[in-house]
Amino acid sequence: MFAFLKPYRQFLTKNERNKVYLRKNTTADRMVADSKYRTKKILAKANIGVPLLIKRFKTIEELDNFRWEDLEGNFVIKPESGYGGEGIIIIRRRAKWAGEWQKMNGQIITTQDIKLHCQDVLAGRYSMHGASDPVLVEERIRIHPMFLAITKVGTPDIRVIVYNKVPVMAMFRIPTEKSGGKANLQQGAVGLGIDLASGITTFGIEGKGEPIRRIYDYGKKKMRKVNGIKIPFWKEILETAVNCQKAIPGLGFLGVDVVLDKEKGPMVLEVNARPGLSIQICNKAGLKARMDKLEEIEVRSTEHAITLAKYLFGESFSDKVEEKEKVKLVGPLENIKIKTGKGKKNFKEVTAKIDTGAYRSSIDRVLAQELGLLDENKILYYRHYKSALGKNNDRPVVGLTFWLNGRKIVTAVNVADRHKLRTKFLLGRKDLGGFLISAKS
Amino acid sequence: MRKITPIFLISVLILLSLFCGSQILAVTGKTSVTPTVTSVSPTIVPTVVAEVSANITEPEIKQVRYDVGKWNGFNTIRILIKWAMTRGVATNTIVLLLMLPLIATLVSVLHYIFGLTGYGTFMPTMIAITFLATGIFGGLLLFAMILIVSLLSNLILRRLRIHFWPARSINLLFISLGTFGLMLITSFFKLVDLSQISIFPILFMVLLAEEFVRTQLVKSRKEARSLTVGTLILAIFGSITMNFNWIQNIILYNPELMVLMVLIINLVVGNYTGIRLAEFNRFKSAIRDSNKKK
Repeated sequence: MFAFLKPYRQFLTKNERNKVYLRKNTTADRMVADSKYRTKKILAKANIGVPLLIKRFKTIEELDNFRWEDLEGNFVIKPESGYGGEGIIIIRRRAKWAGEWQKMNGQIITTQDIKLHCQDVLAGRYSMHGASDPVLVEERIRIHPMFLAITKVGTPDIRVIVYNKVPVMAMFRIPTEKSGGKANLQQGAVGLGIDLASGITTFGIEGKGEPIRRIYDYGKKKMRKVNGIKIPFWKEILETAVNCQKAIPGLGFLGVDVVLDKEKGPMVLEVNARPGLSIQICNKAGLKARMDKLEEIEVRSTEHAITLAKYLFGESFSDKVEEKEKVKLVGPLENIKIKTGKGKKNFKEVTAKIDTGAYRSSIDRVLAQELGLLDENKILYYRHYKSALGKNNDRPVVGLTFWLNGRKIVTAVNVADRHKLRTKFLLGRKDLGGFLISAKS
Repeated sequence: MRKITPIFLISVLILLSLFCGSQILAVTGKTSVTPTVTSVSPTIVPTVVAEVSANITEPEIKQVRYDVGKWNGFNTIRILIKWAMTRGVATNTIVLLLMLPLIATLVSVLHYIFGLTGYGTFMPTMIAITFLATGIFGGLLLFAMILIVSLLSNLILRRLRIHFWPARSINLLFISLGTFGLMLITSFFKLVDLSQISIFPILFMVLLAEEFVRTQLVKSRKEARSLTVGTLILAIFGSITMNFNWIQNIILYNPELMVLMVLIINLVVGNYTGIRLAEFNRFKSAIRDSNKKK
């Protein structure tokens, strides 16, 4: 009767986020996340890239005494606890006349206007409850050129949701004219889902849920597909996100907003202790299902966290296949090429047995040892398995990349004792999506 | 500065014309409409309630028998109500007061299970009471007026570039004048008459309009619109519920049942971590085709 509910089980709903997952965030650290200044201090201490602070005003006097003419341009004014990118002014350079500045869109703004804006912030115009809010003046981030092709307004960023020290989902947020230059989906920005394994975009939405298939490319001056955009510095971005959670351990479930600077690489603008749920729509994947996989896994290092993300949450090939594409045929026994190093030439060819009775694929312990997969860094986690004979044992699960019939498959396989068996590799149905199995070899 | 002056002048002119206009009306009406003026002033003092649930909670209900029997633990609240009534507490105030948690419960059920969102539970409850006083149509009219005045004055005030709080004060000035005008105008119509409402519904509506303007500033217009419309919808549900005779009767004659209902419903809803009805629609496009076929 409730079968229609089944596909919805994977999603993290608002009720569950608020009641279960936000409880994992301590009040003290939530307050850190709410203050951009405190976040910046803590992250800088942990050697995470943050935009440089030029000045912080707490009172009108401090504001009056500040010598704006000493600045060369390239600065940003923002309220310390502003929400959704409101109240931010970005100054590109000095304008022609003294006391005038040029904003990113070429508009001129006077020092007087800037001061008035700062006074508004101090009076609490941009804080949620009208309380007084300090003003931050910080260095402007020079956006990575790759991003410039995609938007003309505002700063695009990458939101990574981190749970239990592992990145679980990511999206590329692109401000639009409609969103007023804000990279916030609530305000109508565009969000593109990102494959955690490769850093390549997958699906897109506009606002809080309108699916889109194409976006405008300002470089080529035409529409382009939302999928297939490669995010540069992908590994570094994920590392930064994981390190943020390590620096603020009281936030067990958080969203990290990373911007790419042309020279300095990933920089964290802010962390969010109440990340939105629309990220699930542009990834077409559920946060709940992903986070469930991480329960009880002990993360050993940043490296380990990223390996986990790659092999557990990476897009499987079958989902990337367009419906028009022909389904490939496999026999009961197939030769697969297991990746052993960088590049396409480093691989080992192994005969694999197709077994749709098994969910996950498994690899022989000796073979895994040979390939160096049992390295402490490569083991994702240990899981309790019940074999067909009813024997219980703890098997390590390792991340593995292999090619089957020319298709690259990135997956997690378990290590089993198959030394008495003819085939050292068993292909489970999890990795057989998009293939058709023929009983004839 | 040169850009500012004409707008400033215009706003001053609007202000003056509004002010003078209302003064003239007040002066001309002074001799003829005195009785209405005197009848308005007392309604400011008592609560909204007096004319609200006139249907059951008019003073005559006091003469209606209110049997409670002997105290047996389960009728404590009824005994207290009877006592309060003999001490001269208005019945309608008691009913309305005890109805507040019920309306808040309705609002939270609609929020957590159906996915209707407004400004918390208190704001919709307050607006629901406002609707009781003004009627749903009258309340919406009042709110629309306040919102339009608020938005227009913001448009002007943004150009003036003055401090935030003085800007809010001037905004309130426009709202007061506008509400006054609306009361005056509607007093000529039979269909919606807002001339007799007390200050509280107006204040609540101003509060909601302020919240709208604020959300629009801090978050986005879309968010502000959806939250405000949500609040109004929740309030309409609430005020319809409050208007039901049988619900008023439950509260007056079985207040203990109401307490039990509120506790049970809220404990159940408070532990609900499942999907909200509105989320089915939201996540529909996030289900991959391969999963749909299953």
